Amino acid sequence: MKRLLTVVLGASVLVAVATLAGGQQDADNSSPRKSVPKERTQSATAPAQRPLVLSGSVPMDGVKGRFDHFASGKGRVFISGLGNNTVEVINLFGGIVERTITGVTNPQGVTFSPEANELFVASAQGKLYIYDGDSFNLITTLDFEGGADNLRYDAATKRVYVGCGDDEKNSAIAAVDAMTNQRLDEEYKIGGEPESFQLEKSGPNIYVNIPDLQQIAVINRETKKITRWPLTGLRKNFPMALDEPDHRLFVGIREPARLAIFDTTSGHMIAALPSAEDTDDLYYDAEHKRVYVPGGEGLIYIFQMTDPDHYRLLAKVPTALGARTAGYFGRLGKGMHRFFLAVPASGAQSAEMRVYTIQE
Amino acid sequence: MFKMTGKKSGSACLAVLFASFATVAAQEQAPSNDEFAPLVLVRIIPMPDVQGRFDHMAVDNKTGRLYAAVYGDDSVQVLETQRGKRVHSINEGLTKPQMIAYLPDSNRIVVSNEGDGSCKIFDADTYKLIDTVKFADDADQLRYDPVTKRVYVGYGDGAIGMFDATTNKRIEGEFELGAHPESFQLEEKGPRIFVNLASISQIAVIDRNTHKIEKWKLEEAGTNFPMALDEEHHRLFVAARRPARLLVLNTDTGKVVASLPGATDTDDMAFDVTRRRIYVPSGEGFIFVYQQIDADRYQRIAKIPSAIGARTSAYYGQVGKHNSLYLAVPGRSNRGAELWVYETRD
Repeated sequence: MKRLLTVVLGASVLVAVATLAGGQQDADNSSPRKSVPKERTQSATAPAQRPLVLSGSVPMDGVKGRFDHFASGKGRVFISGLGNNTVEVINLFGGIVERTITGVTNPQGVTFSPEANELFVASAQGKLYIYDGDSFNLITTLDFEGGADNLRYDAATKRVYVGCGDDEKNSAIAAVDAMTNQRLDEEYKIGGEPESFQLEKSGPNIYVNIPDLQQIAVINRETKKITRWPLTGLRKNFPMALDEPDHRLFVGIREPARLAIFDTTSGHMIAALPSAEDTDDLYYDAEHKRVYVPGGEGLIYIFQMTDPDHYRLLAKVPTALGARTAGYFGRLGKGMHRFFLAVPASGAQSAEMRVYTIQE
Repeated sequence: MFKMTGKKSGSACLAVLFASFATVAAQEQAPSNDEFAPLVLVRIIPMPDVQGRFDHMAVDNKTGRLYAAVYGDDSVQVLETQRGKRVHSINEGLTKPQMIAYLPDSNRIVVSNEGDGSCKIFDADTYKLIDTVKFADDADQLRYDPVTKRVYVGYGDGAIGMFDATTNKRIEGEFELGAHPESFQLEEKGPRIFVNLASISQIAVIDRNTHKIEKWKLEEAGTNFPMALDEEHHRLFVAARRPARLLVLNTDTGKVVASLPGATDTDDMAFDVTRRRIYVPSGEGFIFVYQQIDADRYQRIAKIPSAIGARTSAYYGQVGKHNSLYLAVPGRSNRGAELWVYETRD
C-alpha cells in the first residue's frame, strides 16, 4: 500500500512537472519572421530552468541488485554494487565500465586516496578491502566488528575514516593510515551505528548521522569531545553534506522526507524542507549553491540556496524507482560538471549509471 | 507520438504517464520519426559490441564509408553507410582516439589520440598503419587543407600544429594558443583559422599568412566546444555549453550578432549551405535545427528526439543523391551502439 501510494504521489508530481514543461516555452527567436516555418518539434519544449539534464548513460549489464555509494579518482568513478558483491570501475571520459572488482561481500562505502593510489571498499560484513589504484589487485583487508559502511578520506592527514559497528558498544568512527594501511589508535565511540559523516577541512570536526539515536554527533578531533545535536520530530537521518564556508550542514531525513539544514556554529536547525523519499546520498554543489537529493521514489530534488538562511526547491527531476545513490565530485577535467546516478536493474532493463550535465 | 517498444517500467501506471511526457522521448529505446521534420531517420547501422563514448567521425564521400573514433573503446569503427554495414574495427596503436580526418587525394585517414598525443595514419582501404606523427600531448581536432595538403592538429595546452600529408613530417611555425583548442575551422577563401578555446571561453583567430593571433572573448556564454563556418556570409556559429546557447558571430568584427537557446552537452555542429540550416546534436538526446533567415537572424525550427548521449555527428552536405547527417549513438543498457543516418528535408 505504501509503495502504491509512493507511485501515485510520484506520478502526480510528474504530471505537475510535465505541465510546467509544456507551459514554459523558451523564447527562441532571435528575430522571428512570418515566412519561416514554425518549429516542427516532436515534443514540448523543456522548462526554462533545468539544473540537471540527462546527457549520457553507462550501461552496467549483468549487475544485479541494489547499488550503494560512489567515489572518484584518476578520471574514474567507483560504484559499490551492494547486491552484486562487486565494485564497478567506470572510466568517466571513456563512458565505459573498465573493470569489475569481484569478491567483496556487500560493499557499501568507497573512497580513493590519490596519495596512496589506493581504493578502499567497506563491506557490511565487517571488512575494509584495500586495492591498488591501477591494477585493482587486492593489497590487504582490515577487520571491523559489526560491519564497515561509510568511508571518508582526509587528504591532509592521508587517513581514511571508517564508519563501523552496529550496536551501542562497537559503533565508532575509526581511522586507517592510507600510506601504511594500518589501523590507527584514533577511534571515536559514538554509541550507535553511524550513517553518512563528513570531515571538516578547515576545522577539527566530524559530523555524524546516528539514526538509531536520532542524533547528529559532532566529534572534535583535537579535543576528542563529542557534542550531540538531538533531532526533534525527525527520524532516520541518513545522508549528509557540508558547506564549510557558509557553516551549513545538510542532512537527508527519511521520516518524514525532509532536507534539514543546520548551522554548524550553533547546532541549530535552520530549515526542514519537504524532500525526496528514501534518500541515501546527498550532495552540495558549491559552485551553484545547490543541494542535490536523489530519492528511491524516482526523483532528484534540487534545492537552491538563496543565502545561507534561505532555500527553495528548484526542480524535481524524474529518474527511476530505486535510484537512490549518486556521485558528485565538482568540476572534473575539461570543465566537465556532471552528476552521476546509479540506476539498478529492473525487470529486463539492465543497470546503468546515468550522467546528468549540470546547467546554470 | 512515439513508440514504447522495449520500455520496461516498474509500474504500468508510470509507464503510461511517461508516454505522455515529451521530455522523456529522448530516453526511449525506439527512435521516433516524423516525415515532416527537417531530418528524417532513414537507417540504423548496429555496432552491438562497441562500448563506450564516441568521439568525432569522418566520411569518404566517394565510397560512403564512415570512420568513427570510439574514445571509450580505443578503436575506429568503419561503416559502409550505403550498405548499412559495419565492415571493420581498427585498433592498432590507438589510445583514446578523438577525431578522424579523411584525406581524399591519398585515400588515407588520420586518427588523433588523446592518450599518447599521436596522429596515426592508416590506408583507408586496407586499414594498414602507414605512419605516426607525434605531438606532445592530447592530439584532438583535425582539419585537412587539400590545397596545401596540410593536416592541422589541435593538441596539448595548447597549440595548433601541422604536418605535411605527403611526407608525414611536422611543419614549423605552429600557432601557440595558451589553452587547449577545441573545434576549429579553416577559411577556404581567406587565411584565417577560427579556434574555440573552451576552457577560457574565447575564440582565437589565427592569420596563417601573418601568424598574428587575435582573441575574441565571449561574454554572454562560454565553454564553447563545437563550431561551424558560413564563409559566404561571414558568420561563425558556436555552440556554448555554459549556458547552453547558439552564438552567431560576424567574422569581420568578432561581434555576436545573434544568440539563441542551445542544446545541452554539445560536441559537434554543422552548417547546411543548401538549406541554410545549422544542425546541433546533443547529449541530452535531441538534434537542434536552426534556420538562417538572413545573416543576422536565426530561428530554431526543430528539436528532433534522438538518444541520450548521442552528441557527435558528421555532415558533409550534398553527396550524390544524398544529403545525410550521421549520428553516433553510444550503447545504452539493453541496446548496443549504433550509427543513425538521417536525410535532410526541406
